[in-house]
Amino acid sequence: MKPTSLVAAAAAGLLFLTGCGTSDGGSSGVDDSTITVGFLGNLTGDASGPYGKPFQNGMELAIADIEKSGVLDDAGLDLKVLTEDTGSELSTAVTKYNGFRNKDVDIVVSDSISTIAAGLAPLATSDKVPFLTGSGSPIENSEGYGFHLADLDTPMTTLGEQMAEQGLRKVIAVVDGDNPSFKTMANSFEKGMKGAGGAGLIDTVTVTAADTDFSSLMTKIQSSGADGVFISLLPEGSGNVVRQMEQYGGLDDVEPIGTIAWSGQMYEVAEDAAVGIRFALPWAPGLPSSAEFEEAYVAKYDAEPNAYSAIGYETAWLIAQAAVMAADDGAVSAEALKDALPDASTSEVLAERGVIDDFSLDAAGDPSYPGTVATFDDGGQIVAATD
Amino acid sequence: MSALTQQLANGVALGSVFALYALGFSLVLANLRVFNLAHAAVFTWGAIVAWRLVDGFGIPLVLAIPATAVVSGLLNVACYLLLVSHLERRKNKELAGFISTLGGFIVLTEAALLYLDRRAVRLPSDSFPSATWDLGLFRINSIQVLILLVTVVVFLAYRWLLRSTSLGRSIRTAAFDEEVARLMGINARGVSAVVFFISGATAGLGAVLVAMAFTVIDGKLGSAYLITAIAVMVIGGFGSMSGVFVGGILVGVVSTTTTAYISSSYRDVVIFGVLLVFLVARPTGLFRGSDVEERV
Amino acid sequence: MLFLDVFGEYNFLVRDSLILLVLALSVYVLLHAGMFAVPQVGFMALGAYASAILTTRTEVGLAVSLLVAGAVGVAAGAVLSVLLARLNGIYLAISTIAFGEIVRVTMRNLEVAGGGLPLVGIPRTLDDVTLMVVVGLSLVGLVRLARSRYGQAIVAIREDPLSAAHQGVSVRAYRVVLFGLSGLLAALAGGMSVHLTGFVEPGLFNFDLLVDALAAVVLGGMTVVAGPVLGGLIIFGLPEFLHFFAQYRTLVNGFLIVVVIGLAPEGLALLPRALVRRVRSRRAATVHSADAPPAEKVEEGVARALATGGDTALEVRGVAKHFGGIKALDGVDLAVGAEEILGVIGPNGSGKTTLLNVISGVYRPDSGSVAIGGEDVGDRLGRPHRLARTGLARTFQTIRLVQDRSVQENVEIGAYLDRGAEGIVPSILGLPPYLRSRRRVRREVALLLGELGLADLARTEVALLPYGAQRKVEIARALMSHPRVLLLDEPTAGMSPAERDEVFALVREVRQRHVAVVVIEHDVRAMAQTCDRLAVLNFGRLLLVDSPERAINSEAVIDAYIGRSA
Repeated sequence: MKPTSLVAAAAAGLLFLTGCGTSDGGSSGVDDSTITVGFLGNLTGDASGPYGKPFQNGMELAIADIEKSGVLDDAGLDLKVLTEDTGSELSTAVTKYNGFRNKDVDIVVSDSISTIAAGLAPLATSDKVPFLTGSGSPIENSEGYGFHLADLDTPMTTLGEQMAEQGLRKVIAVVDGDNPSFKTMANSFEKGMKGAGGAGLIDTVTVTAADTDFSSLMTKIQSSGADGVFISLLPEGSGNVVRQMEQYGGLDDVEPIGTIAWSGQMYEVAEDAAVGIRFALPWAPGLPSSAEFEEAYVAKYDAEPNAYSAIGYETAWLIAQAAVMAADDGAVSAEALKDALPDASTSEVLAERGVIDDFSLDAAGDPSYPGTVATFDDGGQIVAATD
Repeated sequence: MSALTQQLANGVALGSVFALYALGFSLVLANLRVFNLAHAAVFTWGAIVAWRLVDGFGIPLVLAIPATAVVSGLLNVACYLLLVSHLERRKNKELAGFISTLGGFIVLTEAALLYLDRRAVRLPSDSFPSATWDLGLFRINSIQVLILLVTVVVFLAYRWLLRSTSLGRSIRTAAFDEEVARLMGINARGVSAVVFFISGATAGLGAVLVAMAFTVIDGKLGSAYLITAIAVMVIGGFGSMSGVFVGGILVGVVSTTTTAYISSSYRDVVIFGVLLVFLVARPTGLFRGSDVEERV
Repeated sequence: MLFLDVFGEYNFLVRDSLILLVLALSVYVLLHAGMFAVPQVGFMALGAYASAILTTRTEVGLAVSLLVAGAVGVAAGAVLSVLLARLNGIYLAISTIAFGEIVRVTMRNLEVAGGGLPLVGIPRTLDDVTLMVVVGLSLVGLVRLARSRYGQAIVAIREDPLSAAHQGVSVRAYRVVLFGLSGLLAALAGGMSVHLTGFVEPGLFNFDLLVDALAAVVLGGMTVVAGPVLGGLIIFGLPEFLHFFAQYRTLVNGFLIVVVIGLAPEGLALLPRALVRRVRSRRAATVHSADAPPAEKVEEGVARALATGGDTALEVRGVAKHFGGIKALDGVDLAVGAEEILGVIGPNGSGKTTLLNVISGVYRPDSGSVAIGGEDVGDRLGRPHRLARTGLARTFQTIRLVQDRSVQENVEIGAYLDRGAEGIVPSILGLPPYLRSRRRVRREVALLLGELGLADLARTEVALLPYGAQRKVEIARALMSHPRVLLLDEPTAGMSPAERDEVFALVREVRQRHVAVVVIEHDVRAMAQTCDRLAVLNFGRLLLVDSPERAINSEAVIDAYIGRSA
């Protein structure tokens, strides 16, 4: 008696879920005039503050501007964005991605987290849907469908060049060993220094993200007679290093240098000691070329945009332009979009409308842009360094 | 060579922090045989409370420190009452206690992360003076000296408490055999609560000092030191205060020298490796604590 | 064959949860044996990376990849358990946590494992048939294991390792096997996981994952297979459907752990049973065992015992044992005949219990020898599970039964050594040799319980029985192994006179089964009535061994008890 009704209940439950879930297969995701963008945002959880929400805001702002410009209307196209919250978790991201598949999206966008990027890229590739992520690490691109948007390399090289030109000769680096991206950034920085005729890094100290005691580093800096210290750590750790340098005493002539990983959190920890320290970002407030974007963002969201807001803004325009170019060539399919993205990134429209200077994306899925040298002003705000 | 002596000096200072953390932890472990994982979270909250008092309410650090110690002590007592006390009669109380305090640790740590909105904060820089002294072979700053002093004082205070006071005798009796203690009129529960209070107060004290020395306060503050503290207790010897003190200094020195001359990622492997070696070869640690034979 | 796609959007979640279920089962394997060890995330990482590296560099298929992962897991588990053989409790837990961290940090620094970056491009070849087969076999295998004599041995180890050793269970061997099994399951979970997602990175195998798996097992229940299943459903499955709660899931997990361990330590899967038991125990009146019917010999057992040569069942020569500066035993010589009841008496601290402990293997003597049935036990000294095989059984001062199991189940464990025919494979597959052996043992148990007047209580939970009945159950358990020698350490401590008489009557009856009995007691009168001879110990030395009347009237003995100055 009982087992049978249990089975019946289970069967009913399965049917219910099935009803919720089946896709209607069939169409290849092409609706010629509407481009559906599936945005998997980290709107809650760890990544929401620094990446998810700023990215989403940037995208929203861009879409409003795209509408005003009429670029899509002229081409007879329409843009629709479906948004889902991944909660900064991979399994949720995949579930939401599956949901998008059922709704035949043409392109999928994620703001950050390398695990989510690594997990979704192969799925997008096998579904032949272009996938863009704001993550800094390269992702699977075997058939050209995976693109990442944050360039960790070039902005650091630019910074290295500048530092060498400024006369820094003996720079010691402190690197977070937990995540190889930090080491990559140190390498790019060194390349930049050497490229401008300077010397390489005189030493590298590797630490872990959880470290708070940097006394051994301080001693090394002092005994090596360094004139600069390249701090490739998470923002809190970086702020801590600068603070401890101040506390240690006798290191006033050593110039701290930061990386693209820095954020306002660094200033919160180091306070005044952070003012004037140079680091690099894809984009920073205070650039004349993107003053309009900044103003509009502050007006709408009552907060300063950060580099991820800029990337989000850039991405929306990138997609719109790619759609226009694909429409020019014929149908606007997922595949056509994928092919058009690299060209769209270097188009005039993007140069004019985008906020990241010299932004470009290649067919291998890697971004490139010189970035901006940034610093903290007296009020602790991140601004472009002007000199 | 002066760089090496400097690194050693750094190691001693860092080691005092480990020792202070481990002293509080092992007080509970050695006497009540409870592996209180929530200790790490109490440590974190100690730092947060201190920050709130100084940064939020503008209370001078000199007053905030004892206040923090008291609040942390009470928080630890709450942990005892909610997480541990109801498990005392259980047959598998060690395992149950570990799991229960693990749950408490998770709840408190998450609460800290949520309270701080997953960001890091710091004590205002003007809340305490910082001076550096050059002693030839190495330099040392005032905060490092303070930490070392406080650790030594706490260590001596623990010893005095356990050996020379009647409270200490009650604690040791209850540690040896709870039934016997009860028969002698000792309020075992009350004694346990006091032990938890002292342990928590030490944690809070250590947390403030750490915040002063190493600046950053975030939700994972206590957890970062947890594994190291465990290594200290195993290497130094669980039941022995001197062992924990010496073990702490030792681990601190290993930590700074490994970071300086190899790298900090390998430091973790080195510490865990040494920990495993001790566990396998000499689980009682360097100093023998008080052991109780199993009665059959 | 991707039939799990029927779940639509949630297909990944369902597959992922099934894989995590296997991980939870690997945690269960160790916890349900009372082994306080949590190396499973480390094993999972090893299995995952083995599969990942193998399939990104060679063309092997899914089956080979999983086989390799599993082999790596088994090996790691076995090696780890040997390394940590002497650790228990907190020490074991800490060392396994440290192991997990070492694995993670090593993977992060290893170039071949991607050097910290995600290792991508792993063929996503996990099909649902393979997944369900692994999950299904794990569940079925573990359930059948629990029902076999191995499962009973594991319960015994969990509840009382010392007592289990005295039933012939080698705790160390079980540990190695269980660690290996745990490693196998966790590594398989790792291998399957990388073939599902297509990538792996060290950060995946972190403390949060361990906490999730641990929470699932604790919540559901650590002692039954249904526990991790139920717990897994709650921990892994539910958050997806309760969106707001998903942010706080770690917080809620921690809270649930505290609540369950505090209020329902058996876990939610056993909550119905626990509630029923609580209700029943309030209603249970004292249970009396029926009067012992006249003794009937159990033919097989006696035949076996008689087959042993020699009249001396137990011989102890020159046994000495000291603890620190105290000489607990100072050269004791004793011989006990095959159907004799030897009583051991003496003031407190005279070494009576130590003597029994040395004989049964709880302690190794510093010098001296022990012979059972005429044969020197040699290097079995100090090893209870090996001494049990020579025909030795005992009870302790405290009752050492599995309180929440029935009388019948408790007595069955006494036949552990006797059931060698039930190998691991026949037990899991339910083959005839296993079924036959199990039937035979159950018949024997029923017969024995009948003879001892415990037949009515066969299904009763031991915790509900009065002390006297529990002690009888212990003696019944001891008799199941057809021992030559039975050691009883203060069997009637704390009993009422009526219960005491019953136990002594039982002791006399045991002698008739051709079992030599050595019994320690304080009630000198009852001892004088029951025992054939009395041995008197004082300060670790044997004062005399003689007939009861001569012993209790001897001046030396009276001196020892009352302490008249020499």
